[in-house]
Amino acid sequence: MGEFSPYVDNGGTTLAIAGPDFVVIAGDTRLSTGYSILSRDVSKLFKYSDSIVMASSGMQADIAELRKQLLFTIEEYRVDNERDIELDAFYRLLATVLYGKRFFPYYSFNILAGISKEGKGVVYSYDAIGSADARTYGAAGSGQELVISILDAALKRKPDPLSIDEAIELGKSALKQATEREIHTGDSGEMYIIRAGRPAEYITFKLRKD
Amino acid sequence: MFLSRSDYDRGVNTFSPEGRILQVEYAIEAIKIGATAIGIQVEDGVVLAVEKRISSKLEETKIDDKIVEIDYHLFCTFSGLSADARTLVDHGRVAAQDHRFLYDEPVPPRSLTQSISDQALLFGEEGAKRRLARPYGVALLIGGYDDKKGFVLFHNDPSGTFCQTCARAIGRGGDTAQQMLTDSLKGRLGRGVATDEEDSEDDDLRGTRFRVPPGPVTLETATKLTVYVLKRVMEEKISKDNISLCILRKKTADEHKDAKVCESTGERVTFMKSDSVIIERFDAEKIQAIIDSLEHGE
Repeated sequence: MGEFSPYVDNGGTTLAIAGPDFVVIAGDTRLSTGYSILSRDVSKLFKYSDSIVMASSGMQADIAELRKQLLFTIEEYRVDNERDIELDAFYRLLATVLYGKRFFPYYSFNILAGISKEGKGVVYSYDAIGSADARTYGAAGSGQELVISILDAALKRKPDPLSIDEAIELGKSALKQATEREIHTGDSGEMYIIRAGRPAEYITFKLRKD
Repeated sequence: MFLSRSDYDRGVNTFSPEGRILQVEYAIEAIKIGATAIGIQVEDGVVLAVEKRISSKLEETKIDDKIVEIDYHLFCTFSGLSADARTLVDHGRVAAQDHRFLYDEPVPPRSLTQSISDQALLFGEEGAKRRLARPYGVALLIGGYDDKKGFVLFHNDPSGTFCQTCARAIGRGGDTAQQMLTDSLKGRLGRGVATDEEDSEDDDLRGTRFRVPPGPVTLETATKLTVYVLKRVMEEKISKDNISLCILRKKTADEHKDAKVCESTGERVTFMKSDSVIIERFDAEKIQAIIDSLEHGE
């Protein structure tokens, strides 16, 4: 009899970069366990509204369940309060839902990107039990260390404000570079470009498939 | 209604043949013998005023528990059984904190009123523990501030019904007071603003009309109006000791400065605090000043 092991790491890398009035959030679409690729086309991004997108890596089953829980709760919020949930409230909701499973956590590492009440781009990055903080950029998943180094180098001491095209290119390139060195990341990339008062834009790009 | 007792007026789980739940209607009667309470909502705030009945000269009148805070941005007054009101208000306070805990934002006043009304409907003879065997004998006026909709006022009653309103009077003098509010605010608040004729002398002849200065109705005018109406409908002579008065309004610039600042980071602490509004309770002197100003105006 094997021991009960409830968790599987399905790998994959996510990142998000915020600018003054926009934010981009991206992830790869590979789903793997160990050295096996289970699928080349599973999304890590989930759009809750035109100003809230979440990127999750970790265990696919837990992520799917977490998404369902959140969808249920924000729909309840919408009908009870007759308004759509805003980023600030969603940030707290996700933290509370994650901490609610403090002693059997969802195996998921989430990044939340969106537009705040003041119209600014914001990135929140979470640990598995809901500790979170607001940042201007973040990365998570199996390629986290690679991506965060690239973003640090590009953004930490950037003198001029980041433009939206720069952010898109930086996001794509950081994922591509992670794909070169990290075997759980690859196949294709996808990205949401979120701007205040506009529908979120969705783009995809190719990554190495090996 | 009290004279024709029927077989259907005992249980809360039986309709009468006319389709009525008589116990609920009797509960509404309990409000009509309660203290008069008035709420007015205007553009820049909400005012709640209520009669305090003092049964003895020895009673401490400084205790002001007839207008209560539900959350930083929500307050409430009531007519009817005050202990029932406390139960509902307690429920509302928990619901308000629940929303803050889950979403880190003040609960929208409408949702809060909905939640209290749900509780008001939870009566019956069987079922869950701690359930009330009879309807709550109380009606509430709930004033609040909504980030999206501005200041709002709600009324709810023992049947679990609630409605949004901009001026409402309940309790013993409720009907008369409501008529006075309607006469004074006609064409000035709510539907039909600025469409009605500017002055209708008929209302003046009845002597029930408070002269609302031209322009948007201010919170100050609304506050005076509540006292004016209470003064006319109360059985006892109005005084600084036998009414309670509270307003909910935007904070002034100075009050914003007083917001707590975190010592280590210098950040303004907004957690658990609705930052933009404040509930102001009028003390005896301020109430006396309003009563005096009304005397002089006449």
